[in-house]
Parts: sequence; C-alpha cells; structure tokens
Amino acid sequence: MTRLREPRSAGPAPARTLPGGKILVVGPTGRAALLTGAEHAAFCAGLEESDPLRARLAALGIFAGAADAAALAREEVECGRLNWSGPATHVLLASVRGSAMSPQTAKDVVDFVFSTPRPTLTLEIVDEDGRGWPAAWFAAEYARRRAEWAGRGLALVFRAPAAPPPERLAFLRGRRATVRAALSADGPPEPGRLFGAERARIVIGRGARDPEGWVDALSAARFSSVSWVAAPAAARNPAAARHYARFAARALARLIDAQETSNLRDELALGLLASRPWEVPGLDLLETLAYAPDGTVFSSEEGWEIGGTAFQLGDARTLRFQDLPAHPLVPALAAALTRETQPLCADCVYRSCCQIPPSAHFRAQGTLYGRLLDSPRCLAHMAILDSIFSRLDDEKCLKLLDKWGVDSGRFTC
Amino acid sequence: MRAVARTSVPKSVYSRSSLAAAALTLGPRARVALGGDVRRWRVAVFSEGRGDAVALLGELLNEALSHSRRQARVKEVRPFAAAVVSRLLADGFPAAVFDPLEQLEPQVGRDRREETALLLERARSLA
Ligand code: SF4
Repeated sequence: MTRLREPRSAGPAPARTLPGGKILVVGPTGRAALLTGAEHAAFCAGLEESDPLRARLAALGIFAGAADAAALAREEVECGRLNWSGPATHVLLASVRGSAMSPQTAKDVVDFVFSTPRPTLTLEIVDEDGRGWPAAWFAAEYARRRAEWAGRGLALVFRAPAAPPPERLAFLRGRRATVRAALSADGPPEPGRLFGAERARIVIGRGARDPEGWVDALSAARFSSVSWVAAPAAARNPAAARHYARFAARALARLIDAQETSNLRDELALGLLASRPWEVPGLDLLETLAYAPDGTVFSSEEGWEIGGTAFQLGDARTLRFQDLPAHPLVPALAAALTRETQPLCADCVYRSCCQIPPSAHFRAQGTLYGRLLDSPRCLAHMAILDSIFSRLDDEKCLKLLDKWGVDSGRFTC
Repeated sequence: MRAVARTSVPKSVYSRSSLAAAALTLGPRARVALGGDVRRWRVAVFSEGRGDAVALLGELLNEALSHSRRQARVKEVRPFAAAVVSRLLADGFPAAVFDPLEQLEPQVGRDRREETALLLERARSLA
C-alpha cells in the first residue's frame, strides 16, 4: 500500500482570466472564486491573516493549515473515481450504418448490462433506420422486467433521427421511454424536425448556424435537454473545432439569458459541472458502454464510431464485467482518465470538473491521452465552462445552475 | 503541400522514446526517420497520404513534447495515480450478484426464462 505524503504548504492555485476580465481561482477539489484583477494581484502578493479575502479564499482549500482537510478529502472521494460503481449509460445500437441487431443479441446485451453494478441504469436504444425495431422493442420490454426483478432503477431512452410511427411511439410512451431526436444543426430548427421528442442530440457541422434560434426552438418545443455533438470533421480540423466551441458556448449563453422561460438543460455542461466522472456524457467505461449490432461491447459510442478494434472490450455473450480489468484497454483507459497525470489538466482551473473521453482524444490526435494544447475537445470544454464561470457573479447564471440542481455554492466562494 | 519535411532538434529536449511515441500517433499518415549526432536528432517526416509533411512534422514535435511533459508529470504524481488506478481496477469491477429469489425458488427462474422466451418470439415476429 502506497502512503501519500501530506502537503506541507500551499501550492500555486490554478487561475484563468475569463472573458470580461475577471480571474477564476480554483482549489484542489473544484471550489472556485471569481476575483477582480486587483484582488488577484493582492492574493499573489500575499494576504495578511486579517484580510477578508484570505477567509474567502481559505474556503477553496488553497492555504495549508487553513483548510478543512477532512471535508476536502470527503469531497474528493465522493466525486472521484474511487466512488465509481459501474457505467451509468448503456448505448444499444439496434440499427446503425445499415446493420440491425437481432432480438437474441439484444437479450445478450441487456443481460450484460444488468451484470454491471450501478443500482440505477440508463439504457439508450438507437434505431437509426427503423430496422432495429424488433431488437429495440425486445430490449425495452426485457430491460424493464429485469429492472423490476432486480429492484433496480432504469431510465429508457429511444434515439432516432425522425419520428417513429405512431404505434411505436405509443409503445415507447407506455414504457415511459424518453424519445431523443438525433439531428444535425445544418439548416434552421424548423418545428417539424423536432417531432415531439423530449431530448435532442444535435451534431454541429460546418453548416450549423444560429445557436440562439436552436435554443429558442427547443425551449418552445418543451425539450428537457440537448447535447451538442461535434461533427467528425471537428475532431481533426481546428477551424471546425472552433466553430463547434463557439456554437456550444453561444447556445449556453442563450440558455443562461433565457433561463426564466426555458426548461432546457445542456447535457455536457451539466455533466461537467457535476464534477463526477460517471456523469460526463460519453466518458469511456466510467460513464458509458456501447453495444454494436453484432453484440460487440465498446468502451463508448465514440469508440465504436472510430471503427476497428481499438476500443472493443469483448462480446456481450461471453464478456464478464468482473474480467474487464484483465483486458489491456481497461488499465490503459484508467491511466488515461487520471487527470492529475495530464500536464495541462494538472494546472487547469477546470481540472476538477472536466474530463475528455480517451476515445475522443484518440480520434482527434491518435493517443488516449490527447495533446491538450491543440485538442479540439479541450477547446470546446474551455469555451463551455468559460461561458458559465465568467458569469458566476451574475444572478441569471446562478439561477440557471440552481434550476439544474448544480451545487453552485462550490463555485461562488 | 510538401511530401517531405526535415528538421533537427536537441536531444536534451526531445528523448528518443518521446519521438518514437509521437511517431506512433501519426499512424499510417506518415513515415518518420530518425538519425543524428551526439547532441541533435535529425528528423524527417514523409507524408504517406494527402497530409502536408510540414504540418505532420509540427504535429510530431508537439506530440513528442507533450509526451515528455506527461512522463515527467507521471513521475511527480506516481504514488497518487498508482493508488487511484490500482484501487479502481481492484475494487471497481465486482462480480454480478445473482438474484437470491431465483436461487431460493427455482420456479421463479423457470417462469422468468419462459416469459423471456415468449418476448423473444414476439420480437422476432415484428421483423
Ligand atoms: S481538457 Fe482542457 S479544459 Fe479540460 S481540464 Fe484539461 S486542460 Fe482544462
């Protein structure tokens, strides 16, 4: 057993100048304070014991001796990987890219899903062309029964690019499944494209325009959440990545400004602000697993999209969850997901909440670790988090965070 | 667009292992050749596809620096990272718990299997 040394003095606290000129300072567990330039200069110069700013910053846990070490340690353990109890979201690809899953394979997949330990599971069924309906139907019915038999929580989500036929929709509603529209933001957000779904996964490509219009349309159509997903081109092309980051940040700013009227939530922002790896959408293995139509298990949907075997974990028919640590990919993912070993993340103000799926890094830059300096995903996460943290002193932003159930007290020390 | 790009970099900054790791990330997009003297590496990048060799060389050097910084960082935080990763791998993947009801009452298991078989049959008829 390795003994960790106790810190003897405070290290430098990561800081970042945000749009608007204020400076964000963050403690080791993600507690944050927004300072003026003068306050930050005083902090860097050294604060007197009696300075009120010192008491404010002490709450962040950045002064040795003045921090509640036990509380900070508790926070770190509660939010950290040691408190992980299996992936939360299981993406069953019933029909994608012209292949459809059979009901028998859907059974094998659901059986594997229920062999993972998290007490409450989300099963997201993707039926791209409608040909996966027999597998989707079976997965929904069987998963509901398995949840009931085992006394476990289950959230069913059905994802499709267009409205399912009325009888299928009635079946899904009867099973309390949430319908998630798989859309592209190329072209205007006409109401017909939203087809009465409750959630949306919207791909942002080069042609995506008018984030404010999309937010307004989704709010008016009473969507409960949206996830903006970068088009594959944004993985390698810096201009496309910047376009995506701007789109996502503007959409979030619109949400903050329109929060009184909208119940729409940004899934990525919310997942990052939760500061728990199992809530960061698409995070390989820790948040998600994906199942191809032939029953192959992947560490995430993005890992499946990349193609090849790099992110394959096995076959749902034969794979056992407890055997995963012996798979070479799993220790590699666990190491890559250790933010403290990432040179840039280690000093980044967003370290405690931000995580990038290794599959996204691999797709963009060819390594599980990524190269944060020119990482498209880091650019997007920074833009999204900047647009929230730069407004931590804005009532509208705090109201939105409260509405989303985010513990904003941690961010406004 | 250039098919070949060459440069020389100091060995004190770029280790052989970091250049090798960086070359791997270019994958089939490029071939990388390494030579040198006591103090400097001579690096040549041959584009194997449509990528510009100069851009690929830039990517290689960025990745090599990133890799060596990461190795240094890993060394700094090794006890912490090792503790977290080993705990996760040792305790994070418990075996599935069997339903005690099915074990105590075999009929429950039989009923459930029968119900599942009927569902499968119905699902197949939807095709
Ligand atoms: S990925 Fe980028 S934004 Fe996220 S913690 Fe690392 S450096 Fe910061």
